[in-house]
Amino acid sequence: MNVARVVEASLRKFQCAYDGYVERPFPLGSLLAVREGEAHVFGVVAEVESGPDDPTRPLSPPADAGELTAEALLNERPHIRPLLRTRVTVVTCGFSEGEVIWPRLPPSPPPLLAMAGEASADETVRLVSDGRFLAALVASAECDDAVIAATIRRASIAFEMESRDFKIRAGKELARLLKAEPARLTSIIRGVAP
Amino acid sequence: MTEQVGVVVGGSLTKSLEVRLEPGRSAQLGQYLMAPLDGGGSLLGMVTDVLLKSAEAGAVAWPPPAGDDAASALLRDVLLDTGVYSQVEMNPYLEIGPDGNSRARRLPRHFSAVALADQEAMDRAFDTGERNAISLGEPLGMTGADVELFVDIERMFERSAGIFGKSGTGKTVYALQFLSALVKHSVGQRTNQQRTVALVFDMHDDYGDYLKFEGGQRRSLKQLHPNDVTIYSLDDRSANADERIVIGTKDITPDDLRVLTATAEFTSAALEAAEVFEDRLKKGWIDAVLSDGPPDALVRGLHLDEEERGDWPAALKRLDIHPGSFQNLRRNLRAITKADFVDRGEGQFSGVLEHIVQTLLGGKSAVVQFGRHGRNLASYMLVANMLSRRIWDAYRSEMEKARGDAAKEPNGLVIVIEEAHKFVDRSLAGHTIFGQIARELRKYNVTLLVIDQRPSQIDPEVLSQIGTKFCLQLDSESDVEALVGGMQGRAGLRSVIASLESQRQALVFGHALPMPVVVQPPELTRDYRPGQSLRDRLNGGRAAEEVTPKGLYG
Amino acid sequence: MTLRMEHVVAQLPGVIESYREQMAARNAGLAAAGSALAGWSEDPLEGDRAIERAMAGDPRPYATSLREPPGMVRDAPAFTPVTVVAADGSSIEPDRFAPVQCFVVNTGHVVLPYGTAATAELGAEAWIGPRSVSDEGEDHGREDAGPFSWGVNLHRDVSELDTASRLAAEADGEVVALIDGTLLPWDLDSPRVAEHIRDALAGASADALKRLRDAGSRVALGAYVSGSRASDVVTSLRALAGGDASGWPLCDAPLFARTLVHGQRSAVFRSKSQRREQVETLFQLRDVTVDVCFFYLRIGGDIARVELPAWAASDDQVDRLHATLVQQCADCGGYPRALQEAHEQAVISMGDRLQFERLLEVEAGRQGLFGQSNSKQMSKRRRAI
Repeated sequence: MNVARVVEASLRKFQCAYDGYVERPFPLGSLLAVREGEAHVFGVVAEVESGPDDPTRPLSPPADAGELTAEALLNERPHIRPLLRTRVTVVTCGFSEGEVIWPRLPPSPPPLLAMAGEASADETVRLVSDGRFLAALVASAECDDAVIAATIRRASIAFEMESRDFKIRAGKELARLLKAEPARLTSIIRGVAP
Repeated sequence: MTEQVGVVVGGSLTKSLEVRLEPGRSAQLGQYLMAPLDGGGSLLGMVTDVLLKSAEAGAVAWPPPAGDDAASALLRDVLLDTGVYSQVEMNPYLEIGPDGNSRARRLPRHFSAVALADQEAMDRAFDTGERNAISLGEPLGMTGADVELFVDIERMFERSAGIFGKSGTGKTVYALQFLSALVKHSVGQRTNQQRTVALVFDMHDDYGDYLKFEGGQRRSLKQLHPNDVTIYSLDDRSANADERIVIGTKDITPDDLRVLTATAEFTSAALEAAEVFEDRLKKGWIDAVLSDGPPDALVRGLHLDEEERGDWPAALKRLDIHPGSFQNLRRNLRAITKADFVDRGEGQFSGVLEHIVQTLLGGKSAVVQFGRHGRNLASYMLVANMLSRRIWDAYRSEMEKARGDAAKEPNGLVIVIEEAHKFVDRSLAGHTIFGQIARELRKYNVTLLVIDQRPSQIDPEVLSQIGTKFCLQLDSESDVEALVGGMQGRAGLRSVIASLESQRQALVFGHALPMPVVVQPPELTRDYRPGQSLRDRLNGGRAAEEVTPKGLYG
Repeated sequence: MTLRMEHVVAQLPGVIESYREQMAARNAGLAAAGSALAGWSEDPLEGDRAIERAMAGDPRPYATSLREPPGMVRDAPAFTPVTVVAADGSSIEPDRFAPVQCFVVNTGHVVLPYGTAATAELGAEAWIGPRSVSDEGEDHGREDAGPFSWGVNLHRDVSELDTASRLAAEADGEVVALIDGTLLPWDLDSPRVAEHIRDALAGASADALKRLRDAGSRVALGAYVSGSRASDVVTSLRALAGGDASGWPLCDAPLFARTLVHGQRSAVFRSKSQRREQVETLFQLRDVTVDVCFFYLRIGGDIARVELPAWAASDDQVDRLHATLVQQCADCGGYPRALQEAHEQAVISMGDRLQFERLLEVEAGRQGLFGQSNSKQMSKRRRAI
């Protein structure tokens, strides 16, 4: 299995890279956990990028590819896939110390090369329940409305029957955070509603 | 403390306190809230306004779209209590604490938790100690919580009181409950001083035997307290009256008629003429005025020529009375004398008057019923005024006789008048006995309980003397303003009054209460017991059970 | 200032006239070479014999035929599923200003499955030499011993061959193994490289070739020389044609450019020269016979020379090699994709070179060794404007 590992890390965000190109990376807005190091760090997938590993070698569409699908093309030109990388930008929004999960920045970034995985439903509920984790997202330049909306939408799944209650709680927290930006709030809430 | 409904977010001691409601919480106008004060104790105040506020302009400038789609619904839910929220204004009234109560002089801190006032706080605020008290009903917003508010009965009647409300709001029922409690209270007292009796001018025969109520009837004062209430009636057809009142034309003075200018019958010039006639003719003046020509006594006094003797115009000219005024006087006097409770000459009036005075001084209450005359306001006013003047005079002389010896003073008297604004009209206040009674306070142990639907018509000076006001729903702004004008936090009280339901809701404030309160007056049930509204601490709480014979009211 | 047209106008006709004459002579030469090739094809063995006679005492490389008529032209066969492996190397030469002199060889490799079950793999492996002090060759007492006798290029070439052979042997199914440049590392007989190093590397090369040979016909092997300047065939044709050589092409490429169209290859030839025989002998001594053969392949405007050992020149292997090379060049600008990617893996950027230099200094400094710094070195690092 292709795991994503931390390849760049700062307090507010970190990047994970897969070994190569992955067609189904962590989805937008999913909550990731890096369970290595003193504090386990939680963050939200704000960007997923796939492209050439070497920025000086851009991937250009083959002129002679005809009607081939991406899959067929990658099979026909096996050298391409190893030259591609999928990277995931994660905005940090919480960490855990022992049993406690805090919805705020960790004391230090996650360790480089640590494995990132999706947070469990239990971790998700404990981290996001009161909506306070949203402050970090709203403050992050990486997180636009779509990221925040996707985050709330995905996290709400962990609440099962109470998912709408969670959406309202999170929305109210957003309303406080975005009090001067009603248009932004509206756009996020539209993205949150099913 | 009950559950928190909000937090203090601002305000002013002299105006109102702003309380932001917690999500999902609501508060009604008139409800009592309490907030902790630094250094102990709580501030009690009344909700005087409920506001919908927005935290930022955005939420209301760009409201969520209407519609049932998930996004719109979610956005609405999200904005409630965040972008927009509810706030109440609360008039601060009272500080309650372990060391007693005082007027509000401090405010709670920002973000203090505000809760609905609980039983304990209300008990403390409205504490009447061991003294007898009358139930005002349940405070608004605490109904069902078994909280009942009481007003000290002596305090309530030591100054005048008023029950105001448009017709059908329950003024009579409220008054009946008070009076029933008052009668019950007085019966239980040992000394005159502790006793207060009522003289009820019962325009519509509500306070005698039965009160017409919601298509049926309820026992009224006489039925509830058969031994302690005497009924007098002006209606000769009344079957249940203890005494009938008949007024002789000789009993009526111009001063007695003055009150009738309010009914737009007597002009003031006509009353001046009446005074001239009374001055010259003394007690027989009405009969004289109604005769075809000037009576001899007048003729003699005027030194009229022989040919002028049988002629009113000459006499009037000599008396400097305008013929129009004379005609007005005669027409009106004729109307009065036509009533069957008015007899020519000497009636039994002084006898009845004496009976009433003795009844009252004897510790019983009196109900003057008008029967079919109740529809005639002029009759009502004339009689109420005549009786009250004379009874008040009697009280005054009793008081003077006592010369400050409290033991010899007469018991308290509450004169109950309906349509009070007619008696204490702005133009009349100086002339009627009621204005005087109101102004004299308790000097002669007589106070008023006025029942009225147009307080704005009452002379402001008189109104200001009304100590405790029971305000049910009112129609006009001016009536509301007349009642709360000059009160602290009147803007809030105005809005509270404006929000009262059309029945069984009252804002009570003034002399006998530590702070205004909105109550739901007690229900007048079919099995209402005599003096049920009374809380008699000395005699074991509520009035002793008096079992109504079954079958009588079933 | 404008061009003085009167100066050039007068000379122009002469220049064009001269060019026309050259073109005519060249065309005539090519035609002569072409007819010589045709003649050779009529009786290849007779031709071969004439060529071998001409070779005697001539150091120049010649070509003789191998099974196929020398003038033969072959279209690319259909491409069939195959795993292509390739290796290419890059190196950092010893720096005389460094505190410790050493070199780096970085060998890139690729495994590219085309319709086979293998897993695509791109990678590189690097190592630092000399691996032991004896590599320095100073004990041979030669003046030029030292870094230049270490044979960095030879190390690199052998490393490529070694890597490609291992990957080819490991891969399942039909394989085409490609290396960049000539089949046999040239410097194996270079006197500038210390003899013991050459000796060791000859052994390593032989092992690599044995590995490829032992893999059997499953593995097709090709050493790809793009834009070849070799002249083995022309030299042989000159020997066959005799006479005036004016106008004849100087190398084989123009000749095959006339006969081949895109995707076509020439016949497979056997390459022969005195020097080649010396090198081939090195292998023979190590139990592997390497008769270097080659064919020319036209890819677009390029005539590439593809070298292969005789034991890898079966019809089947050559067809597979031919088809694969055409396919490989199709999406890679006329150069085999696998070699291109192996090169990309191997290439050492200027940044990497500087980084290595620094690492070397830091580590040497830690152990108490300091190099002579000079302004050129310094200026390489300071990126002043």
